[in-house]
Amino acid sequence: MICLLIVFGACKDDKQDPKVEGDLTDVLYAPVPYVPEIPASFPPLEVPEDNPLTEEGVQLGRRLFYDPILSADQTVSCASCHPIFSSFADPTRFSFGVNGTQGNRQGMALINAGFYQNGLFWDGRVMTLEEQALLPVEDPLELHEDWDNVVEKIKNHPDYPERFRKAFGIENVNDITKELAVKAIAQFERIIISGGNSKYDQVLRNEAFFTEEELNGFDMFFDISADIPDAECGHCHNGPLLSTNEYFNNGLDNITDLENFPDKGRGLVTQRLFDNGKFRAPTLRNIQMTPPYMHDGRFSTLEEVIEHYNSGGHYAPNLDPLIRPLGLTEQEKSDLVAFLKTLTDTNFLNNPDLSNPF
Amino acid sequence: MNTKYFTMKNAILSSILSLFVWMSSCEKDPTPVGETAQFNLKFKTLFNGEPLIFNKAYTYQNTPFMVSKLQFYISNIELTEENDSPDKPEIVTEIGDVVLIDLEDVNSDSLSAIQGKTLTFENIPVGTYNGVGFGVGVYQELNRQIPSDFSSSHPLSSSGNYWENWNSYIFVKLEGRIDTNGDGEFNEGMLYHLGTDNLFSPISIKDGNIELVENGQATKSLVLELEKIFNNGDSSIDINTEFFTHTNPNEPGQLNLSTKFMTNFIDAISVE
Repeated sequence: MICLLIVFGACKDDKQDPKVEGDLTDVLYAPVPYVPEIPASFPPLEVPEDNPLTEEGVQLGRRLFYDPILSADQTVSCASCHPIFSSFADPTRFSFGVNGTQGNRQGMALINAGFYQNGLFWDGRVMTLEEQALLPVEDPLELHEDWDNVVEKIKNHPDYPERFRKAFGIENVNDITKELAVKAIAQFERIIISGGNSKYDQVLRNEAFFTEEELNGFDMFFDISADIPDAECGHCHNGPLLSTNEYFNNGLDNITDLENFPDKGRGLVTQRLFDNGKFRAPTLRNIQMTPPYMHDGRFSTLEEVIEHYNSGGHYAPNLDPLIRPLGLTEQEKSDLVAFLKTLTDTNFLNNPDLSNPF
Repeated sequence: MNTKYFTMKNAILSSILSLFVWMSSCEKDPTPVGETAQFNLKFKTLFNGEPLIFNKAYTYQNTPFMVSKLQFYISNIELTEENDSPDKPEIVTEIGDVVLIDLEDVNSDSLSAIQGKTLTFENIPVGTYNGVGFGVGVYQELNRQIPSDFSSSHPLSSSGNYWENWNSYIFVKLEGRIDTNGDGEFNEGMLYHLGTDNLFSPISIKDGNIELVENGQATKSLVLELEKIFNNGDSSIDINTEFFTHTNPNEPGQLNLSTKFMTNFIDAISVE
């Protein structure tokens, strides 16, 4: 009987195919679910069913995010325009891509992007982080690379194929696709969460107190009292994310003909004339860390931003009705800035899952 | 022994159950499972009898204005039917909990505006209903919740439709711009944001039968006449001066304006 087994075993060995080139099945595929820490006040983090968060997927996405391999000349990465130290926003007015080409919008903060359900980018032209991650690679003003080239570089990389296997269970290096790459990047972007530890959050939990200036700024921001001016901020920047994720013309340009906006913004997406010149109201969390401000980075300081809103902005037929002269005093403007600085939460800076892995 | 005991017990229970079913049938025939239909509730927004087009210049009492946004919540949506016994209250069938009616898609062009916005309610028991009712706004119990309580597909998930200062959803939003000085430029923002429990306003429309037959559908078409929101007797609104309210409870002027607006809003809804 033992002899028979040996014979059968020998036959089986004789028939085994030689290892297929690029085979990855020797690498263990046992993804571990990644459970992000979400502040209690935040809405649910909605994750696509076909791209659940895993430790392996997040770590792969983190590497791709920081790796200039995604760019044509291997000099620019996602992190080049979204560095962690500035809350994953671009500290320059217009982002610089490959060969120093300059973009035409400011790179907005990526914190809490996983919670946005009404479009991404300043104009909301894509709905998911997976779609979003596809675009910068082939944008000539950004990474200026072809996805086919990126995939080839990843396939020939000494480390990435195994990581794709661990993250997505692919069996062969040739199974690596741009769709899997952007899934990994999206997983990483979903865990860039900031909130819950700012002074503002601590005050809401009765764990800290505002200064007099901060409290006055808070009251004006959220229109708490009839005795002080309504600064109209909280209508577009509210909820735990401090953003409604809606699109507004906030009076940056004096326009009488809606066709004449220098950047049509949301209108390019919806093809509605009255959406020209509208842009997303971004989160104000960590706003102190994300200058310059506005979609075109025209304001360098929070004081300039407050001055703009205090002035009532510039006229356009689609100027949002909330943009109107506020009549704030110098002290009141200063108080608003003091409040905005209480929205800073730098805990994510020390999150090892978010920093540059190289 | 045990088997016999259970058999007798079951027989008694069956008799009681049969008696109960028979007594119930005297009151109202239960709708057999599967006999359902679709009910449609349509809203059209008009100004001076014509479909309202967003971002188009209109004039009301010599003041040019244009509307850029009109949205409102309705909740506690129900169909009513008369009881067989006239001394008993009518029978209410709840068909929907809460819906956000955003008219941006339908009122941005004249073709869509003529069609109006249609809400569809499926799997409604067949029957002959005599009316439809709903509340404009979010009813009190639901209004204690906040956007973070809901996933993004839910109508109450948007923080843009919630105002923390009130602890309330924004029941109605009408926004636009007004030319208050007649220079051809819409110099002032027009904004009516209504909320808080006190402004939740039930409306019941009974104008005849809504016949729902198995696998069929019936539609009730309503119109919202914008000029009636402004022009409503003692509750009229002078848009040249009363064009801005957040319904701030701390500011009586805003609260009064919002109260007038909601009164007029309800009066402006009628059957087409």
